Amino acid sequence: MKRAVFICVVFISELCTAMAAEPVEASAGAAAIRSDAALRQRLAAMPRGDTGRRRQLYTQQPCASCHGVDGRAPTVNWPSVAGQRIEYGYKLLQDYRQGLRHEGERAAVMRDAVQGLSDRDLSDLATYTAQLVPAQRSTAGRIAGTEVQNASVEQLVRYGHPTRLLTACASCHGARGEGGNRAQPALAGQNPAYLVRTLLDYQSGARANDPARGMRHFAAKLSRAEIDAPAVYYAKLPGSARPGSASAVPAH
Amino acid sequence: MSTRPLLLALAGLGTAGWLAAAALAQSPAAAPAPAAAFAPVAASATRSAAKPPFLLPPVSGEALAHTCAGCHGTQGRLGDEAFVPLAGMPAAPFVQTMQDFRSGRRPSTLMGHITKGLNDAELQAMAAYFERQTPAPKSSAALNPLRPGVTR
Amino acid sequence: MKRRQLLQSAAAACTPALAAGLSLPGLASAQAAAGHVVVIGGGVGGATAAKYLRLFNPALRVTLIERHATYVRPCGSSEVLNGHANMASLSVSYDALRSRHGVDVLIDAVTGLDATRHQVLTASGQRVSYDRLIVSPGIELMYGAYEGYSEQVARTAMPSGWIPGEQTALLARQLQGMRQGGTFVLVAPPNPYRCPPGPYERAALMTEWFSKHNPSAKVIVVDPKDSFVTDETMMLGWNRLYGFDLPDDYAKRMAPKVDIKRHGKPGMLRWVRARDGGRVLKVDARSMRVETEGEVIQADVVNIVPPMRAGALARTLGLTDKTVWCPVDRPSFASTLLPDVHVIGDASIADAMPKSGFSANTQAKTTARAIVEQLAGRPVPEPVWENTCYALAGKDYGLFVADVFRIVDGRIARINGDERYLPLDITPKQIRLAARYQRAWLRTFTEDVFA
Repeated sequence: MKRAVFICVVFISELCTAMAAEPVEASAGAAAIRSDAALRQRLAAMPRGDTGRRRQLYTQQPCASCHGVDGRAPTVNWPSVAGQRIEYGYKLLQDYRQGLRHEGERAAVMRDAVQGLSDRDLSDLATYTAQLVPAQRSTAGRIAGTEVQNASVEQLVRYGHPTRLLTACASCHGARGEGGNRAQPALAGQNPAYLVRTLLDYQSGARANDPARGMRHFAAKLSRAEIDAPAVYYAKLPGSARPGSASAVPAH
Repeated sequence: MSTRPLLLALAGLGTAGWLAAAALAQSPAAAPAPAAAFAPVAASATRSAAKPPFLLPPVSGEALAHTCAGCHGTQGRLGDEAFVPLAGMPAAPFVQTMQDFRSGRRPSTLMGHITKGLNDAELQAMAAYFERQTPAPKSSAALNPLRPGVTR
Repeated sequence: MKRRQLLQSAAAACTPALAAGLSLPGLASAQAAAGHVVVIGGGVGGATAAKYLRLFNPALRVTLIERHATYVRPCGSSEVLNGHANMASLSVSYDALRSRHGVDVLIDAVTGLDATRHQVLTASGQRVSYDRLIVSPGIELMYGAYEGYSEQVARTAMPSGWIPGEQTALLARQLQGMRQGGTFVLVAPPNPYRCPPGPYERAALMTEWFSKHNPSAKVIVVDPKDSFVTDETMMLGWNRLYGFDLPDDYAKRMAPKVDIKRHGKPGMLRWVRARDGGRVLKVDARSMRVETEGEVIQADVVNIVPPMRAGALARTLGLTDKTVWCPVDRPSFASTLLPDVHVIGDASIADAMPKSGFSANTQAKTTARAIVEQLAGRPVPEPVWENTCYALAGKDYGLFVADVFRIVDGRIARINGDERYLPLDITPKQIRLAARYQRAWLRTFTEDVFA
């Protein structure tokens, strides 16, 4: 109980610090988009999509080409999208369309890929990928012999670090890496190279579309080993599909 | 000047000669008939695909891999780019991906066209070459904490 | 003990230096044993050959002889004309070839060749000995092919810029400064020529620019040909972007595959084919008139892409035949006229391979491999080549040609099926992505050649 209370306190204080540390943006619009409140509004306004056209959209746009016909990335160069939370998929695609993600050439390809798509299209895509079944084990690599999940990684992921004020990954991304109610993405079964690249991009500031700078603030404190190990941890967690549900859209 | 008509005549002669020799090189692939693009490859005077790829002598995986470098980087090494780096890619997904391009199962801009010139043995040979290459430092393959050879 | 340690550490320190092409006395003989390959021409073909020779055998000594201290790349040079790039961005340095790959880059002009003695003669008086020689001399523009045209006219009034440099900058100034409602005439060349889609990409990009900055301008492409590589996809782009109506024969054969708009009235861009009198007879720089078989056009800006032949150096060195291009033995691109000399790139007679940077790049690699194997006493392996080039019909409208070549019945032939181009029924999204890939390809291709 004490530990739980402590974690909550740490978490809340972290959040307050993060929000206080948000610099004055050059454009008020950009700041608004990045705040938690704005995110809630965007998600609340997400249109409900059309089942029939979703698969066609996914294949034509052409998402399937890189992310796999089944939503499982064929190589480590791209993330898997199968079984991702609908709200996160929607937020992510909107972020690309609005030019909020620009961490490199691959983000530029994604920006091109979603040009001209409507909110309904984005909702359709996010809904379609959510019900695809993710790989049950990461295909990114095999290790000879059995792999023991390092106890300290488990500690970091589930409980954070009390003195370094590191939030537990699980507090936002779920106890089983299934993601969270405020569009925090599912991480279970994800391509570990992508997770590493993501944390490095947050660490360097190349990626800056996280609400209230939460991820940047967190990543800034991590050593490279503390990036690699959780990436492996999550890659090995079994993912699951989320057929048909847009259940986590928060109340207004 | 008297040399100019001579030059023009030479150019004309030269052009005619080149046109004959270069018809294969410069003429667009589609012949006038609308159905030509859907017709199976047929040997003809102007069609340059005379023999199916699998009847030709084998080419090394490395030689094939070097034809990819213009987009995919020397020895398949690329950092942050729109194209996918190939250095260090495991052989099985490489072969599967290329076969999917060739069959159209995976949509593409030009990879479908390229893979139609490669048979399965050639894909395997290319895959083996790329798998052996050290990925560039900023590529996903280099960042992958589960890449082969990393001790934990 | 100390001396041995010192020598060992000196050797260790010098290994990178060795890799960088400098040699110590003992190591020089090892290199001499491996061989010395000289490459003439620091363009796409020559630079790729020099780099890959060193990659294939780091013990080889490789010397690249090039006239100009930096290279101005023709690929993408039309983007200077519409302001999407500047001349500086076309410049490529030879530094990486030197420092990363250990190529000796000699900035000098070649004046002659002693094939018997295996020596190249340079303007500065050097005699450079070789075990094998690769010549990649590029093209020579035949300014004199049209009455009224000359290099002088190209430099001052009617630029070509097909080999980029000052004329490119002049053309950019002329085009961007053209009066409102002016006429831009682009004279396309006869086959064979460097970069088959190039003139049409240039016309398209200028039409796009004029549409914004000079909406009453006219763009006329006059052509001694009736077709060109990428014609269907390029003209479909013109049809969609610039109100261009396809010629009837094209419209008829493309209509089953894709919706084609019939605009009904002339757009900004016109393509005058040979059959419609597009072949140029003469030009007049003073009056800015272009006379074709069909008409006399009064122009404000004229860009002429003249007929071409193998670079003058190929003739000087005795590598051309009566076709004014260089005949070669296909597996190794060895000249059929001189021993131990290879000719690659635009200057070579390569059957079905278009004259393009990508062709030169893959020819350089197979030739480098052939030479490395021959010098080691091994057989020349079976070659494969590609020509995979992206082009633009507009800033966000990408297209390409994709060829794979092998030797079939003694000649170089395409072997990857009927389809070369972007499919006509491709989605707008993929067209946009193809434009993204064109930009990426310019970067990655330049790096594969020079870095």
